[in-house]
Amino acid sequence: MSSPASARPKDRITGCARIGAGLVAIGLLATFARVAQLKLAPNEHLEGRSGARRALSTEPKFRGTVFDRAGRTIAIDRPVWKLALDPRYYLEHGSRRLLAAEEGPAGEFGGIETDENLARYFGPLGLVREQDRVAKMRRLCRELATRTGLSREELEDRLGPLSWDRRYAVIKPILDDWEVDLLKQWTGERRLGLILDKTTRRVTYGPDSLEMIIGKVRANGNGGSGVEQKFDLSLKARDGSLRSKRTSRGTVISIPEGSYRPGAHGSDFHLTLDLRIQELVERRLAAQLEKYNAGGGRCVVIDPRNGDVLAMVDLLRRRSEVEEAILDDPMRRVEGSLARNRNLVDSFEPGSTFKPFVWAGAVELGVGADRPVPTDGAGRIMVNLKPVPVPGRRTSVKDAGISPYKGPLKDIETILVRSLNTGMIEMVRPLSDRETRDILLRFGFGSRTNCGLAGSAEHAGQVTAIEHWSYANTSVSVSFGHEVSVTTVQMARAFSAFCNGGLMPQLRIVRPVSGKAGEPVVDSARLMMSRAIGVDIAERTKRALGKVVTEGTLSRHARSSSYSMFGKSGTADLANPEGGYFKDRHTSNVIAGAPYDDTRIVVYCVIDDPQKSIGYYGGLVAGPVVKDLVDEILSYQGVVPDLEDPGTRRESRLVDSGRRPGPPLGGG
Amino acid sequence: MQKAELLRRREPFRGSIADWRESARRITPGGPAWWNIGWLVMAAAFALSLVGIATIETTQPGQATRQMVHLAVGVLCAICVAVPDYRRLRRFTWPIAIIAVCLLVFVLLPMVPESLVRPRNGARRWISLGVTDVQPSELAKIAWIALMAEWLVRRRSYRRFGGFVLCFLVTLVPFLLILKEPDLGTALLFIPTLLVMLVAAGARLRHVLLVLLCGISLGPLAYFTPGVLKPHQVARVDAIVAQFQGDDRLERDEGFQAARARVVVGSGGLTGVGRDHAASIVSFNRLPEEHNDMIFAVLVCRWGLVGGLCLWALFIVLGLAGLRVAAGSRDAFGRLMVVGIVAMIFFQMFVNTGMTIGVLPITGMTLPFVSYGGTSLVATWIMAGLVLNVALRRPRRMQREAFDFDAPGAGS
Repeated sequence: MSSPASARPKDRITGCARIGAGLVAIGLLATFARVAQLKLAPNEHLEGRSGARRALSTEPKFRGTVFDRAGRTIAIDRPVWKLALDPRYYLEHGSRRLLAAEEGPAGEFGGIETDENLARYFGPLGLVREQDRVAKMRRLCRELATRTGLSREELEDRLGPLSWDRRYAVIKPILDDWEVDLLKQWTGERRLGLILDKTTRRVTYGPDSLEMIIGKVRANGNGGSGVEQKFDLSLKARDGSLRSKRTSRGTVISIPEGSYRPGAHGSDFHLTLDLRIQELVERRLAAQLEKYNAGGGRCVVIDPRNGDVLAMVDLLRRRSEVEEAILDDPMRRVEGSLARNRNLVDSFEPGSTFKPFVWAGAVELGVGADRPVPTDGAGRIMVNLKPVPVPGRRTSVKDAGISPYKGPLKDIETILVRSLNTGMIEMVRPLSDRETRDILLRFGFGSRTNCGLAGSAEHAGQVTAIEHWSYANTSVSVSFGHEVSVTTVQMARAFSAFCNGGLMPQLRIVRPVSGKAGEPVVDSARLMMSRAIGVDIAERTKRALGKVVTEGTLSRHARSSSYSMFGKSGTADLANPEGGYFKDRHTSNVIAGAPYDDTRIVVYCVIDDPQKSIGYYGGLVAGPVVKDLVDEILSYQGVVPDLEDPGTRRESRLVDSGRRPGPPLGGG
Repeated sequence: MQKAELLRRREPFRGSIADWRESARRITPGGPAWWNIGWLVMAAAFALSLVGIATIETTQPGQATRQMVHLAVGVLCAICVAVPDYRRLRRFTWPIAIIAVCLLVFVLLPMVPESLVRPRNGARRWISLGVTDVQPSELAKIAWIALMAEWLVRRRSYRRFGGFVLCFLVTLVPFLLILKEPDLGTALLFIPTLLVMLVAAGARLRHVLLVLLCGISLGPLAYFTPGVLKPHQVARVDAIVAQFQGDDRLERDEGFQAARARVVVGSGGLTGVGRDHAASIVSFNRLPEEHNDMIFAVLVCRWGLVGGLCLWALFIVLGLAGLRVAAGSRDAFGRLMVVGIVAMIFFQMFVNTGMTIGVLPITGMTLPFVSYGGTSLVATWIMAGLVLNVALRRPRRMQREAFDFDAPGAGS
């Protein structure tokens, strides 16, 4: 038995030994646990690299290029360099290397500014750390300003607010070649935290209004909107891949058989749009909006022979002094490619521009012939048992002393030429509700054009359902373009029927392009026609619309001196979002085709909410736009002017009523 | 006062008859105790060396052959060290320590020609002898352990705070010289080993705790104070911190070696992937120093987690057997020396595996008995030989229980 004197030191030694053994055991257990974790449950980062190193190299392919109808590039994938910064890496490591380079090798530590040393001691205190961050960022801005096109102020705006926690911040999305050369030369082998990323960027060319049509490509390479989304499957590239065994530095050791999967570039597309025409339309429309202080404007130009959409412009104009009645489009201000294309998705009441369709449909159903409109004994058309008075054109009366239409209405063409609402009411009186409604449906109103844009977002317009249709409330209003809502593309397509002998083309945004095997790449681009009215009726309506330009509401402001035109203007009351209509706000619009014989273009222009004090009639506000566009577009297309003497030649052609226009069909 | 204490401790034995008999058995003089636990230390060391050679052969077959020669030399040195009674060798501790310090100074002298001391990776650690290189810091480790054991046996002052600190001041000499080479990893081994030896010698625990607290407090200061640590040492700490934060940006820079080591450790699964596959993994990952500092990664890649467990088991056997030798020794010098040797081998093993698996910063430190390196292997075998030497010797005379300072009536 040991004495208490020897027991205490033994206890002490035993205690120390137990503590030591415990610490060693803990250390061993911790080491074992870590190795087991690395082996059995590594994190994602390690998991992908453990075991034999196999590399998957991608062979990047380009998304298809989008061209306009003349072969000009609209959207293309372009390899670019992007300059980015890893702020945390730069602040913690890169800035030291930058300073060391400035002060020589000895500056690695000794040359660091006092605040940086203080930051090392009192970093967590925040204030000194923040001063250190600002100083480092300024130093980098100073260096980058001499090597990029960005000014020092711009750089400080971008880099100044970056915190220690950020890991990636784009400094400049697209670098010029000289910038890349300078930056590479400057950084050399040093790792400063600057990142030069070679990436592919979708670049679009053309006027701003084209962006919403072309749309946007998302960061993942998929189309997000517009043409890019609609034809994404064909446009999208399929990257190739190569699986190989390689060293950690990327040297390929072996390539197993069958490990190469070739990629494919995306298919190219030729749009029917023409950059030049788009630019012309955008510029002219913008000028008119400015002149009339309007809230917005839309314009569509199509080729009626084949349905090619040549231009499609939608402009919105914010006015500080006016409470806007037009639905705003905030995304348009963020990015043009995300804008809402109102030509396709917003409908409106067209007003008198709609009359030719109802008129033509009614005439085809025999109105004015076997289904006469009420007349008096002298053959004058009567409304409510009274002859319809026809207002004479004041200037005509003054100039010529007489007006061919002065006095009571004698023929139904005059209803269209003089844009008589009362006359239109009588035109639809003999028709049943269903007949009147069917006229609208035959012209394609109430159904999408499926022109290749917007997809299901395209608005089909609104045609009152037959069960809610009544002569008093619907037929009467529809006859002069109210109680029905349409889109600009619907109007342009319907108007094409008057150019093609009653045939309406399927609108298309993509031209048919033959592939290598000679097969069309895009099926939807095939030419399709649907009949709206008969040939004779179409010709008769066209003749009447020609008189609108020469003698009617378009004769003063929308009559081209070079090309014969036919068309119609309209001025509709602007719908009030809170219900009803504004009394003093309007939608002015004009639709026209030109040249008269071999119609090459249909132009439809809508000016939303022009300032009434400046002018608001369709012919006055939208007419000049249509006239100027007809002149410029046809001239650009190389169409020989058909009006040497605007007065005489126009009249002589209208007299020749037996000739039927024969529009050439097929791809243009 | 100290003399009076010593006199009081020589009082006659006052235990029971059984205790007296037991004590008498222990003090019986005689020759070497051939059958002792020290052979287990040698066996574990030999097994570890064989494992090391097999691991080196995975990626560097030529180096494995050379390592076998190193092993033979090491075993020979261990036998040479084990044969003479360590108590007779004890008188040479000071001269050996002075020679070791002189060699440490020698490698740092700028006028020494590069044919003798050739800097590698910016470090001046090796003296070239033509056929092989010698690393004075490895010799210094043994010399310092022996010196500290002698110091602690001869003096009692470490029971006071002044004397306790004095031990650290003495240790600072090799510490600073090795730090200057620079070899931070080896230098840092001295501190925990000294603490363990002090605890074993009976130093006051409050002093030990105080030093530990000071070390923990001053560590960050050394990191943040410019000039204390070399830039690459700061970068290695940065790399390990970044790794814990999930930041992989440094993996191609400062953290390259650690990142590659983690990948290789993570490969191999439970039972390993075999020699050729392991060699290709190591090769493809371009693991630096794969046969030297990073050999643990190669080992667990080739033999998996099971291989790692076996390695730790061998170290545990070595450590326990070494501690048993220390416990069985009645000589304070031998006991302290064995404790120091075991502590140093264990700390070295912990630091090496820790840096390989990404829990400690990278330091140039070998895995004892396993890593490639002539000086390293011979030095660790000399340590094993010293342990065997202590185990072979029986006590020759009766003496007091070692470090029974807390006995009744004992002063501090």
